[in-house]
Amino acid sequence: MKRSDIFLICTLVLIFLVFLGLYLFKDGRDKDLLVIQRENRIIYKESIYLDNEISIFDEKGNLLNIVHIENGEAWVSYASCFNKDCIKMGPIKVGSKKQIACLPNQVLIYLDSLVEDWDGVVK
Amino acid sequence: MRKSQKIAWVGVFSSVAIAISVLESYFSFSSLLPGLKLGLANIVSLTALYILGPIYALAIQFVRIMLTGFLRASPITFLFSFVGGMTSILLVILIRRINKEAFSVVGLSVIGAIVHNVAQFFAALLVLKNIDIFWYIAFLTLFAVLGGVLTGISAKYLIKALEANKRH
Repeated sequence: MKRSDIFLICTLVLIFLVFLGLYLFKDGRDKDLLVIQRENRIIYKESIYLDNEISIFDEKGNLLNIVHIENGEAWVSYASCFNKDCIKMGPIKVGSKKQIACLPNQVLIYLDSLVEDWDGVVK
Repeated sequence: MRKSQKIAWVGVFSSVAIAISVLESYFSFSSLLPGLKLGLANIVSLTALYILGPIYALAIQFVRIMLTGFLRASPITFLFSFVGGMTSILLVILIRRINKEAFSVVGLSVIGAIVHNVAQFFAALLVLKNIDIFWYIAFLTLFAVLGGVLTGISAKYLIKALEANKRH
């Protein structure tokens, strides 16, 4: 390995550490609104404490994903795609900062804050 | 190496790269991070870049992405693979063309892995239009470095072995 390789690797690790720091300071505690987005449209926005089962279909009526919401946790129980990454990602709950993404189906599941919405209405 | 020999090597390298890609899709690290892969097929592209040259490496990358796309991927997954794979190999070729001595094969491998992730992030941003997915790219950066070093070291030894074989 050359000196430039080592410099490059160290810089990238440093960038990662900065990202990690920012991520750890990101507050996820107040976010209890479950949002399901397909393509760039929000198709579901309810409290994560509301038990539900959401089936997501494409324009032709093909089933893409099934999202289970139970006891304040949401997870994908069915995915029509090959890799099933979104199922393997497990559940999201209040306080967890992760999102569930199913890129082949263009579905994104994440938590949002009610407070932000109220601010929006006030404005 | 004659042109006909190089074309034969393109066939061999492409087949190996496709086999590695398909095999790798069965060993997912998605419970850690969605889309996380070591990118082992890049060992082949990097080796081809050093042994055969940039055009042939580009051809191998293109054939691999197209065929694995037809074999396994959905249109969106194919788009991500195409954008990430082609951008990374083009940038690696460009850097090597500007200054051959700037980075070793390990450095180029790391650059390729990072560019692959960044390009895929922009493709995902275009599709999902949600900036929050930025956090994925942040974490994928670390794994890109690890994967890039691993594939780079593997490519280094493969290149050495093939170069030695070429002389005999």
